Amino acid sequence: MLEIFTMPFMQRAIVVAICISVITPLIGNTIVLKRLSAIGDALSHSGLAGVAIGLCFGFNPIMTAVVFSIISALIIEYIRSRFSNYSEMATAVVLSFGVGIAAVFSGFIKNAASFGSFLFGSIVAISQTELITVVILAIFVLAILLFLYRELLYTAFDEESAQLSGVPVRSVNLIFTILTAIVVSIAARTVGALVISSLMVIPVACAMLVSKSYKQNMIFSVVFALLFTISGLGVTAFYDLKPGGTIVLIGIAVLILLIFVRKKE
Amino acid sequence: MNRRIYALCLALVCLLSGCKGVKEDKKGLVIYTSFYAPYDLTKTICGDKAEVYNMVPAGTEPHDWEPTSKDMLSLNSADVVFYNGLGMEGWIDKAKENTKADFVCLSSFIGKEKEDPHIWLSPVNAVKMSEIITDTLSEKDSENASYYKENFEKFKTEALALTEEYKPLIAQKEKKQIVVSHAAYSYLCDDFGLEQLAVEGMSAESEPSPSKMKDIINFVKENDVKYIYYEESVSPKVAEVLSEEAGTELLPLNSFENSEEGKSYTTVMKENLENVLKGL
Repeated sequence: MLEIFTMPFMQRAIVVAICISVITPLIGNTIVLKRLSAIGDALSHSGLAGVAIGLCFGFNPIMTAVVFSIISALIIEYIRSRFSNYSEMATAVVLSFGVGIAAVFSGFIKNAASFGSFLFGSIVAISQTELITVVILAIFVLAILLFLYRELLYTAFDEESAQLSGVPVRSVNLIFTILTAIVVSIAARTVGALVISSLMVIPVACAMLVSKSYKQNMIFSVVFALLFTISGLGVTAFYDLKPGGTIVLIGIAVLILLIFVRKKE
Repeated sequence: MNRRIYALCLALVCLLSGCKGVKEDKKGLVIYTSFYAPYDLTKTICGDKAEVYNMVPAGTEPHDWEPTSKDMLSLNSADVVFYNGLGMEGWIDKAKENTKADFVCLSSFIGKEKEDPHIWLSPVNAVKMSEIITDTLSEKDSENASYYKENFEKFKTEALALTEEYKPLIAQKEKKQIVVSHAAYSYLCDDFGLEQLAVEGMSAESEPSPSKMKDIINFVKENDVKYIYYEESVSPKVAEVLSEEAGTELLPLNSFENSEEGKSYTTVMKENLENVLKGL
């Protein structure tokens, strides 16, 4: 019955789930505070555009996807700073930009089959190289987030006072933006865009309902993300359900439950 | 004023249709087909006596394709449109409503209860589809009826010979199951007394559950399956992970939904059957 957990594909899935569950909500915490919750969606779609352009002009599609995501993230950051009260507009603009470019350029790709294979990511179909990439990425991101913990905290809450108290807001924003783009573009290709964009927000939302400080929120969001992904994998190990969708639905269920419980208190 | 608007509309239509122009001095019938399988079958029957245009370009997964406004316009110039049906072309109903062309469904001989649209992957069905094509063409272009008939007979002999050749060879084998990445081969399996174990359903792109992956890996190990079949038009990622885990090799099966090399139906089916035989 438990033999499935001895199978390498499942072990890889679990390792990747843990890595993604640690870094995505940590990034998500800052993202949510910046009112950019839809950035996961926007950047993964820009990734599509990058893949389409790469295939069209004969570049390595994974590289163009990462580059294009970074450019899109910078555009989001720029629009956000121009319209500081309407920052969610930035994600919508870039999302449509990405989808538009992907749609137009995919018309020029001779072998659309290869297009599909670069977009497709599933947590149960992870190659050895992807596993290593994700683990290295996780360590790298975690290190930077810990290093910039205070700066990110100040910047996320109030950019102006952060600037006044000596935080290099622009550089911090730049680093964080690029980091987000890299995480989304690589993780979307590994576990799928659905999982990555939901893990950026749902665990953070759940954590907000139970935590009392920013630090607690960080920790709880990771705990929730781990709970969703691991239980999602656990459930689909025994029932024939799509792993990505199951993970997201478990998250939503927990969120609804928490909202309900909090309301009663 | 009215005239100017009229001219503008005309210019717009011309622009939308890519200015391919009006198809002047029609030599024969103008036929549109929904994707590669009907295209190749039609081409086999009509030879150079008609103009055949394929709607879904090579390399595109027909399940996901949708016509552009340009495609819809060009459908208007078609004498007949051959399509597979059974949900293979999600856009077909809209196209029917919006164009004047005559639409002919090639799966009319299949019961409605069937879920798998990939009927052409059985040579026996391909012959039936060709028969519908031949009848339609002969009706619309009676001058060339005998030519169409001749081509059909030739194709029929070839396709049925293929079935006759491989049936005994496959029957000899003890193993009867093939593990495929995309559940497209039920008609092929019916023809040859085989059974397909599919990683994914009809639609090519979605992820399997871990429990499904486990079942397939166990099946492969228990039954000493040597090959897992993948499809070139579908992401091979899942098939790769499975074959690595189960210690098998990968072999391609061509679902003939698109062909970049322009191989004919019988060539592709022969390759498929050869690969199936190898894996049993």
